Amino acid sequence: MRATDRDTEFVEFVTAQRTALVRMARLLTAGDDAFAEDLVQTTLTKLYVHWGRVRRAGNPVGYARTSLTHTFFDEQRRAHRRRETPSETQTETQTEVAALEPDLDLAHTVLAALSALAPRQRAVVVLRHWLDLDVAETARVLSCSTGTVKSQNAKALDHLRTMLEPSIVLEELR
Amino acid sequence: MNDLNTLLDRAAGPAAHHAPVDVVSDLTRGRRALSLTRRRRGAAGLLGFAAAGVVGIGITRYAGPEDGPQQAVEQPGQDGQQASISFLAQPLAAGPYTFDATPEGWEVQGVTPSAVTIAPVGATDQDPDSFLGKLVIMFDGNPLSGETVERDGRTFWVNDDSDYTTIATPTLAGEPAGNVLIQFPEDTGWTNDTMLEFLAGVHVGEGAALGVG
Repeated sequence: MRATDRDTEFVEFVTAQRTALVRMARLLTAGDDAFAEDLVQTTLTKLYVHWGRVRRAGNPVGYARTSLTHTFFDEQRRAHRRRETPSETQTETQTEVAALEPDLDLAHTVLAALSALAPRQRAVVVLRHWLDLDVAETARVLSCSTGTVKSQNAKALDHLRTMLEPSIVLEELR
Repeated sequence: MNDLNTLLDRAAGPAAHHAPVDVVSDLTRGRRALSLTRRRRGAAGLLGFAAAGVVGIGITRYAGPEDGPQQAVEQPGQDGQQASISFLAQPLAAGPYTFDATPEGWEVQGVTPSAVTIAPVGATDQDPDSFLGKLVIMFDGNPLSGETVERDGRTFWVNDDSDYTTIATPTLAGEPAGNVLIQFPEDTGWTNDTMLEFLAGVHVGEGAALGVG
């Protein structure tokens, strides 16, 4: 593959998909924006290096989502990763944004509930209920069985209900 | 009642950024990583070539005629050089796929109706969905493209990438219609010649499913 082809296709992909990947990473990290940005940067770098494979897979968005999810798991497993607590600067920024974003409280509540889930359960929720992937596709992304997806999904939804109710009542989901 | 999809969508943040996406930084990081990968691969290739020489000597001394059908048969590589991959004259079955020969030192790691993953014995990466450094044999329905090579009456389509090569050929008469495609990394001793020979001995049986995408 010529370098110019790789660059052109990569730039087009990033321009179109970066925001969506950051949003997905934000959910996976339960609102840790710095971690989410790290994940997206790492994922995009992997994609560039293996762009020929991305192209051949025929579904760059799906490839990127899978890569992002695996990168998330890899980073979670790194024992030395120091989890950062929100700094004062972040809090101030969030307060400023709150004035502009009426849904922010709701978003924070949902992200707090997501943060209480195990990483794999969180990923199942994101893939199944935000990206609307079916069980089989979710299992493929997570490299696990469909049975595992179903059980993790059920546990995650139970946990979310416990965390969110009674202020937020979730509609019945499977 | 709240729809979880809507809640998650709000929690994910705005769907459109006010500022343009900074593609240049991503591109720079990608180029730097690719350059580093190629330099490492070059260094590893030199080490691997030296190691292959040592292993080749070991095989030659160890495998005598009395070893029978499992005797290691060394395959000549390109330019008359000795390839570091040798085959055992021993059929290998993996789900709906069968192989006329077994690459010595490699083992089947995962089988699905559309693909077989073969990895070096003892590979640290045991994830069959991870293809880095492994052979992947796929039953593929995508159009064939690339450089064509004729061998033993069959046509093979070869595509070289910076990281690995794919070779594809239509399945044989009597096999499910489609293409059998093999993807192999370029830093593990496989050459196009050895891979063409290996691929020619791959058979697709009933139960194989065409890969999507």
